[in-house]
Amino acid sequence: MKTMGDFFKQIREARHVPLTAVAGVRSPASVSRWENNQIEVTSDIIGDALTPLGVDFGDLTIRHFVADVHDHAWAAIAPETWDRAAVCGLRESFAAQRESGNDTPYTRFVVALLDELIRIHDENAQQLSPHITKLISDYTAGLTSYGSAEGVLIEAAVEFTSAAVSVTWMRPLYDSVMGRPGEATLHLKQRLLAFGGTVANSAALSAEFDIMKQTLAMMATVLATMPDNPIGAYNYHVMARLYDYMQDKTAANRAALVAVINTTKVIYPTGYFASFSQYAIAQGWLTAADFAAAPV
Amino acid sequence: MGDFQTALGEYINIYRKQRHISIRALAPGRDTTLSRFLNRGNKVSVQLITDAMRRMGLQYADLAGDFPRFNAPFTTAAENLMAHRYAADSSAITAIADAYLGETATAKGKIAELNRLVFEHIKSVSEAQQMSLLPEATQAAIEEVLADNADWLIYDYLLLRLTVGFLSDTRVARCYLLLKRQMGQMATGYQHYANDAMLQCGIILLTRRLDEQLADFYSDSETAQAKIYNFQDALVFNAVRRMIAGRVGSAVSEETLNEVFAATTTVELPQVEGYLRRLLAAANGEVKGVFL
Repeated sequence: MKTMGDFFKQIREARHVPLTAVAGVRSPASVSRWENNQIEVTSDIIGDALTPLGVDFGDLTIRHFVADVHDHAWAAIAPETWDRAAVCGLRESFAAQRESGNDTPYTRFVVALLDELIRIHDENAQQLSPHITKLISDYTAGLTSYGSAEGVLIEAAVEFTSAAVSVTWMRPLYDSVMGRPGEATLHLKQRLLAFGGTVANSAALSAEFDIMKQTLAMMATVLATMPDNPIGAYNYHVMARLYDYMQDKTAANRAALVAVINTTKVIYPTGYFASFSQYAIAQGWLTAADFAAAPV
Repeated sequence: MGDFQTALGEYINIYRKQRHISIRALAPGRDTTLSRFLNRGNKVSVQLITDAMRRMGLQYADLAGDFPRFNAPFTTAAENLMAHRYAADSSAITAIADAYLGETATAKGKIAELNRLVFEHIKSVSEAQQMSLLPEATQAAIEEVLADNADWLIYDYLLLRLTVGFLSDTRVARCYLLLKRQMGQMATGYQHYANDAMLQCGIILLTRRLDEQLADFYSDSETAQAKIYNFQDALVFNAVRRMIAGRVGSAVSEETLNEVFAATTTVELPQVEGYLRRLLAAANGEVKGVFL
């Protein structure tokens, strides 16, 4: 099996880069020891230290030289891809971590939420228990960024609580991003727009229109600080047109909503239009005839 | 580099503190070493950081997205350029190129030198709004880098993505073949970098009206589309495929993009619409646009 040292050496030789060019502030001898797996690779390779090789730290994770956590298992939590066995596996993994000494607010949060999501799906329940709602509210207060796993868990929980509560889970992230919009990354802004879409959808389902309006205003503010972003723009406009239609069920507002959903034929990859239009039909917002009659 | 280590340690430390997790819980038995990294930016093993991050659910993918200086400067600059490509805002392009050139001014080696040449060229083309090829020696160096490494990295995909528009027709064709060879054997994590490079190749083939290669691209891109194309580019990807499919002789009519322009109007994407209109004009030989 190829090691990280083997990988560095292979790339360096393929690019005809001498040891001295990689060394930087290190000695060529220490780079050679990296390559021969004689010493541990240290944190100063993150950032620009590997520029002479054209290596990005992302290459090390893609090739599994540096292990990221449970990337794929978290998808099992989303309602549309719920996989009880996979979620139970995740839960056991975190419970084992706690028993082996990693008993922290993070691992307690994960286990409690996984237990709650399993209960909700098993009982076909509609609402989070009050103590779990409070746990999420306490946990998210003051967070200025979410890890991927936290984001997946919190967005899954949004489905089972009032929009008035879930918008408070979004607020710290929003305040952090919009407090420094020029510095916040596009990745954070995209995540915020996706979160906003989930909260706005939840507000639409529970007819919490004040919250829906408030969430849409937040999304519009974020969107205005970004270069054109088709998915972000879609997330905002579909909820904005749904809001207009729910406030005033005119033919024009209905047609505007249909028009936005029709854009998924070209904005999203193949196949997404069918699931998005069927969702709108299943909620009773639109009918199959709306899409059959649409010009595009 | 010391400053970077300090900033990275500080970022991870803030993440930890917001979750009320002790340093001891993250690095049992090695908490003093980890503390020196988190608080002072002292160099530590990558494994120690990886283990600590795993214990609080922080992924490297999160760092790459949320901590702007985490990626290699070339990756950061390339991704920033790509995010701003529809706007055709030369001041934004110049700022991104200048930031890269400033940050890597002292970097040594042929890759670093090549990268600087690439960003200087992008900057000059953007400011002049005048398409021009890279000097022949730089083009040759790019092709050599791509050909020499049989196992492409993020860098190689991004290098092709950024420079294909500044290569000669014959080099575009050869580099596209190199890309296709990689796409048949690459690890899954490289898919979206490869897709970005492939789409840009298609855009350049379209603007140069290279019919033979366009037919190949159209066929190849069908496979990419079936594998669920990168979401952020699905709109432009669909538009490019429609323009290729809708060509009559060497002309593309605006009607080909009716559905696409309906979408850009409906969800208010004026920058994307402007970009596609410029692309349409270039595909019809009316202008020689700059497509970053």
